[in-house]
Amino acid sequence: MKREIIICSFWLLLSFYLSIESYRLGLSTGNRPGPGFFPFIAAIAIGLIAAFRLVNSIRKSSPDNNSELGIAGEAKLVLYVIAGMMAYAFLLDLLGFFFCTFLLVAFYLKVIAARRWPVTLSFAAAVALTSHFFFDVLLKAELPRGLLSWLI
Amino acid sequence: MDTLHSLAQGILTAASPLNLLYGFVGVLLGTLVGVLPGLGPAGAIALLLPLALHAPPLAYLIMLFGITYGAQYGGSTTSILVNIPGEASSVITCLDGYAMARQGRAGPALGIAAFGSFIGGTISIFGLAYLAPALAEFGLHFGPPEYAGLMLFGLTALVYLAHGPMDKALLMALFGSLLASVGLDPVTGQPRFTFDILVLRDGVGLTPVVIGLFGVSEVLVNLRTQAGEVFQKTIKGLLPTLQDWKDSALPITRGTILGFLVGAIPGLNVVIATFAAYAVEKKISKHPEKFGRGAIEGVAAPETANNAASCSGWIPLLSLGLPTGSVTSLIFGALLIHGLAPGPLFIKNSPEVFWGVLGSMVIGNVLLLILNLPLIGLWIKVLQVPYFFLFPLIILFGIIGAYTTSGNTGDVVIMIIFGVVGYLMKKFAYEPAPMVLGLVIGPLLETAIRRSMIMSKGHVGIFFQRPIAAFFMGAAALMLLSPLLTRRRLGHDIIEKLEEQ
Repeated sequence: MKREIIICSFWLLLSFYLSIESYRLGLSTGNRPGPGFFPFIAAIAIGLIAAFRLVNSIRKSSPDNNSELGIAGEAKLVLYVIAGMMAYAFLLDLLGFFFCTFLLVAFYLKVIAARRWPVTLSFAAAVALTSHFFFDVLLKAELPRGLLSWLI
Repeated sequence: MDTLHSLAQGILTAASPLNLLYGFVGVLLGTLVGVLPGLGPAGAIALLLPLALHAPPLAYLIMLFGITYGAQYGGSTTSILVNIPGEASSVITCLDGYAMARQGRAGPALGIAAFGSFIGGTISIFGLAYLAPALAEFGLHFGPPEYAGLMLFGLTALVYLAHGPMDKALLMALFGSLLASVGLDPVTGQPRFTFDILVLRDGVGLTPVVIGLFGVSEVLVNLRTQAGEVFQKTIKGLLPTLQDWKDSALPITRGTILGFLVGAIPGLNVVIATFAAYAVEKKISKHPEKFGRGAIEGVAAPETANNAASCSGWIPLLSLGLPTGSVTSLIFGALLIHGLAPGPLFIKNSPEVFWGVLGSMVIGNVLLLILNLPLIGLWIKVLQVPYFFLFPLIILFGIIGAYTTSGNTGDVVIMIIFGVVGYLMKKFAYEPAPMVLGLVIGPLLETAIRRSMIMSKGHVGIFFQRPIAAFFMGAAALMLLSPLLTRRRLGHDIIEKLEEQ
């Protein structure tokens, strides 16, 4: 029940904020619906449904079963994957596609999959080289070259 | 006769070397993602959306369509060999397919699944070729109020038939529509919910959102997945025996008809078609006790139905411009990227694309039949690849896909955010499909509603005074409100019971 209350409260807050913002944008100009009209209706509808769910969950008051979610067991792995992607996004322009790809794959294989260094480094190098050749050279996708811009 | 002539022209167009190559890549990729648990056709299409900027429109669409029906073939392989459905539409095949594999009859099970899929898929394409243009003719009478009604109807149908609680699905659809409001207002050009962030001025892009929701979130959920253990590693005798054919002929026929009809109805999907086909066969069988213990009818009917439904599922999108789920929403997005407006005028304005795609489906089904049976050994090897080698690649393709859309790392961050959102949605049992549909049709729905209200000088009565619009609005209201009165959704308890089985 506690979990459902938290989720419904999130939706209610979101609905409250968005309906105020939509109202500020303007609901109508004369006979014409304004830019805030559509999001206002959607935000109000979200609020009504969230309130309905909240009341229902309080009335039923069934106990939470957090173990069903299974988040606790994999939270660390999930955080590592997200951290790797965030680092990739912020370092991409600086280090370039090739280096970032190598580091990302090596990080995932070493930290998440716990592979040995030879496997980690060789797989990361293979992925970086192949993807550079495929996307950069063959498909001519404009990917940042960063540190290696003088070479490739 | 005109239809057959146009379809023949479409087949010729699809048979050109470039289109054939893209089609081949599409069905191969589709089978691969169907085989691999954890990355479905929606994820694969999401990862390939950025390619739309570089590839020729028809060839690119042929590839995307190939992925969708290729995945249906691939999904059955894992169901039969490993008892793990690669796709939700292959869940029911596990029951008898895996039982057949345990009896040493994996070959005939895979064979009848492939032949059934081919027959169901091909016949369904002909149905699509006849029905879609007729429906599009009807759609030509639509104005903004009718479009608004149609889109609300499509959105509500998806919400009504969602697996989980309807209110949760409705929340997702509304949230998707709200996300679609981010960016410049389509009528006044005023910025909405952009928070002075440059990347949000163009709106929340479909590509990074769907890559996050379907690609990244799948990786996060499956991080602890182990490689599949294949029960029967050497497959012999892929061609079903005469007795197998006798047992399967009628289930294949019924599966084709049922799959086609279910797939064509907005909101119903391939999964429902397979469960319904299985239920019908079990109900009318003289030996229902054999089902679940290796009855070939239990493989033939659902496998035929899933391909038939996956083809007829395109009718609402190609004839009326109505996406009915996540995959059709993504294809809708891909069509928009190429400047091809899906809707009643699509077939009239872009006949070469419509008939070319249909032609490619005919060729694709033949390709899949030729390719898949000999390639089963390869798919078995793919199944044994450890997941820790696969997930960095999926993440990498996702990042490249999001980045190349705009050349901006902001889109990569959006992808990551929606990866986390998708992960939490899965954990809290919120479905992504209504959200994606809301995001895709949100701007169209908003424009249609606002245009209608400009026409009526601000009166909402316009949606109820015109018969077609009133029909769609009434049907949508009925679907939304009836569960409040009856405390049940039509057919939903049957679907739940079958899924439990």
